[in-house]
Amino acid sequence: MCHGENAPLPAAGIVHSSHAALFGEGGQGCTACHGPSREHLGLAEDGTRPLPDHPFGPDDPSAAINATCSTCHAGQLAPHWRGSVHEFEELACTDCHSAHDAAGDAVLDPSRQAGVCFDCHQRERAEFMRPSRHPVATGGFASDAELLSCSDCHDAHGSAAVAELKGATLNETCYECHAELRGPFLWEHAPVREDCSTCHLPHGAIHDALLSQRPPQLCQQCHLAQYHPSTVRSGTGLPPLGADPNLLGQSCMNCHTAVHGSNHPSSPGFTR
Amino acid sequence: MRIPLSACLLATTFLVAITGPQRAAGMQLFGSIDLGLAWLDEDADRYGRFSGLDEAGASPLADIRLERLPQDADDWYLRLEGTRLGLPSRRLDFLAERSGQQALSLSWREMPSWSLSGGATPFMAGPGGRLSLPGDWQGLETPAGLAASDAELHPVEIRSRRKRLDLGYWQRFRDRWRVEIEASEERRNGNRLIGAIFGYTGGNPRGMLLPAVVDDSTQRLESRLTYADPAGHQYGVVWSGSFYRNDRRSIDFENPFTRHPQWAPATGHPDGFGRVADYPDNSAHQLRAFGAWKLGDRTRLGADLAYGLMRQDDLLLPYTANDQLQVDEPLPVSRLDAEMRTTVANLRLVTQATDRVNLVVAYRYDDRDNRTPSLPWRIVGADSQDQRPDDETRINLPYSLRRQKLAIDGRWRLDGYQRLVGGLAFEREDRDDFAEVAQLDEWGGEIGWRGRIGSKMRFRLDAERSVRRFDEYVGRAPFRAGRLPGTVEPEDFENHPELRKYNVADRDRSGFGLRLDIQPTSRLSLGLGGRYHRDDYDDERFGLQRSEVRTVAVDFGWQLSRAVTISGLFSSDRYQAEQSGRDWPGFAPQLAFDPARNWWASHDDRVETASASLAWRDAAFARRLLAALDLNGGVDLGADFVHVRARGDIDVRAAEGLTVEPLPETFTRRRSWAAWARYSAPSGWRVQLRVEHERFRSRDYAFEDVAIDSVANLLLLGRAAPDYSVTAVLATLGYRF
Repeated sequence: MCHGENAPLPAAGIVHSSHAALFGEGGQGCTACHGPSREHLGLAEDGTRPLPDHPFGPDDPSAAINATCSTCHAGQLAPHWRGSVHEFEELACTDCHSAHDAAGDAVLDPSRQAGVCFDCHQRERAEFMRPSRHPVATGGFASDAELLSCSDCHDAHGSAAVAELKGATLNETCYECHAELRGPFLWEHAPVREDCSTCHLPHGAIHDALLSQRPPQLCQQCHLAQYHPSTVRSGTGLPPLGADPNLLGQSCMNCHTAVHGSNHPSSPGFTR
Repeated sequence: MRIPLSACLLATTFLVAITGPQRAAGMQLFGSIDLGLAWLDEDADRYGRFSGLDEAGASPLADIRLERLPQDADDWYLRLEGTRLGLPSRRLDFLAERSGQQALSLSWREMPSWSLSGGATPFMAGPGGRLSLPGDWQGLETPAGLAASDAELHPVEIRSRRKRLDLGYWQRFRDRWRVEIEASEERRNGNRLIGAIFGYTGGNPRGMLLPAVVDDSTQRLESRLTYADPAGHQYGVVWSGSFYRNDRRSIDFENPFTRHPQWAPATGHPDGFGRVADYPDNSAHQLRAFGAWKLGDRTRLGADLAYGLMRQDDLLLPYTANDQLQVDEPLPVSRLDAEMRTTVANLRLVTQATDRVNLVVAYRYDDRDNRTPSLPWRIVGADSQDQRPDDETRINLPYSLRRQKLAIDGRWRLDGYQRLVGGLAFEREDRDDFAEVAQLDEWGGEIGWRGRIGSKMRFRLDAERSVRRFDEYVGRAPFRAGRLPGTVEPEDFENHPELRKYNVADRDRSGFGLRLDIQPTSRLSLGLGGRYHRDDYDDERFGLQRSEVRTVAVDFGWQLSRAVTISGLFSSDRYQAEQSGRDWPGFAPQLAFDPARNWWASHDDRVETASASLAWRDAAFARRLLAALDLNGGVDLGADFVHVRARGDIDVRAAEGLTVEPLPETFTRRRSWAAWARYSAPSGWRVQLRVEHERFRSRDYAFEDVAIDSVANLLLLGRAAPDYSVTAVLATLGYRF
């Protein structure tokens, strides 16, 4: 069997998906996507086997491949696909999707999806290995539960937001899982309300809580008031020379616990 | 073990039993069941922080997959899949789909999240969730000596778990229409670490870290109606709602400190209580309409309009938890009636101007209109002092923001192999008058070149440049707007007048990147990438002055043979930043203008990441070895390796008026490896064995040599930075049918 489970170009796995309906009674089978491909059923004069009508190979124009898929999936194609990053880079559906995999299409499987995305997005793969990160699995390890997948935040088919995020804005995407931070609060921290990425890196960071830099210096980039906010923080505040509460424990958040906003009437400084 | 193994066994036996007759009847039923155990040689919370595989000893493992294939185009495809069913990170998914016609999905996810352990606290959750101290607790003047005393301290673990149920349904009707409904409920239980303070004593408050209970939920609902026709026109409307619920309005705690002379009577231990507001209930609704139209053969117009409403109207807490404090003026309102109206509109025109040129013109309008009332609040200083006088009234500032962006991007095919891409963008941000910057404009452009060199090499070059400028920076604007008129002088300020907050400051941004993909043979692929990114701010001002990111990455995939594949990645990232400030004590405000008190901090964060994977399918030597043992079947082998090293340096320098000492380097290193083998017998039985080892080291001066009582007036947890070495063995026996 040329395209059996252990063949060089396995395709039998297609039956392990809803595409299996193509192979049921009245279905068109392989020809539904690959065309009638009559010549492919025989050998050419030189003994080689001609490719099917639509081989979906790497040299096929992405537009042609996508047009074939769209004959059935037009309704599922997101309205933002045209002009999206992936469309602009001329990606084909088959660059990410695999209809033949016996374990199902990896990009639709939350536990395997990130592996497909990381094939191109290697930098993001490395970011998800950092000490502080969102739980997207980078592959392999049993400790590495794939609790989130890339598509929990991004829409690979294009979106109306920055970085193809699923929400209307970056913050609205974050509120999908962090709805407690949505507010609106009585005391608002302006940059938090505007853009979570002002302080946080979304994929992974070397500082706790996905912070882009370490507090208190991160906080001091915007807070330079009299008393403690402006005080220079250095080794003089560490044991045995000292014990500066702004450097130890949770840093500024030892006291300013509600940096994302507070609803306590006595908390303009986000301490309560 | 957290989940009785018998429960997993029972469930999977049941599945096999119910599917057996169907398989016997010749139905297209496939699946697999894997049962086993995971064993850890020691507790390692951080190792299993997202999987729940964190306790020494054995934990059950169970994975199932069951699928029924459709018999014809109208038949249902059914799939039930469960992963890590024995662990707190379990997941169960069900899908029923009639190809292209309708589908029903159901998903149950549990997501643990471990934050920290190893610390101690005297607080325990008491009646009503109040964090209580031991009955014989002696009030502290300061925490000094607490670690060595016989005070009752309890170990602290900060962990939470999300449990989420998702339901989804879609149906296509009249060929072109599709309706979708998605609903989910997520519950979160556990605790989180919060800071809490008690008392404003002239700059010396008492503070503590507390394990606050988390018990909240979020419900989401989304319904969507879409239309798509073969001509390429698409329309749709979507309504989505999200509802956050938290029954706890506050986190109350006993004051562990004795009364300070500057506190009101009856606020010290044992009479005083403190209170931190918990997250209030909130809701969000969004109505969205979108459409995409084909305008001729070469042009397409897309539009997307979303109108949203975010509301929060929880009952407000009183000014203080302590009834003894004098509060003359009540809250201005009992509920805030907070409301944010959001409008996001996108217009995108995509056209193939010529056979070689594609253009995308896009306009985006994003308005956050905060309609929350702005009211005066006479606050009570951290549950320790009587209500502040009228001239210290604070006014809440409901921040709004409007962003608009116009961008044009083009793609020009030079030939069959090379493309030039480029774009220009203009973005404007408008803020309230009480923000530091009312208007911020940014012009940007980018250019790129993508191409192929021969058939074995692809390259990609990108460069970007943008310039952002504000119209006027009024640093004292939020300070003045947050106080009653007449209570601050025109020349008063809070932040230093020379500070420029980086999120609204003038900025020159530049960056470039390179990516090279080489495929010297059909079995070997190499990737090489680099990126440089730099933001320059005004270095004559205080705040962030410069930030740079340098990234170099190499990756490869090598198919040594049909059976053996190796892949790997190395990435080196360096984040550098410069900031400055002026140390400015309150008792001598004139020092705000003394350059001898300037300070600078240079950040240098470096991360090196290396990973490699080996997969050897149906290893021939293993097959021969098994044959000698009279066993048929194949063996797959594999190995994984990850090495991550992260270091952070902050070099602090100061002018002659200040004394500074170096800060130690922070350091994290993770080294993990895994080896695995899977034997699959022709009969369908399979055995999998996996061994993992992880060594994790970290050094962090925030925790090193820091005990619960190291800081005067602050009760810490006294925990150490994570440092562990753990070995895990996972073995499963499975059957595939």
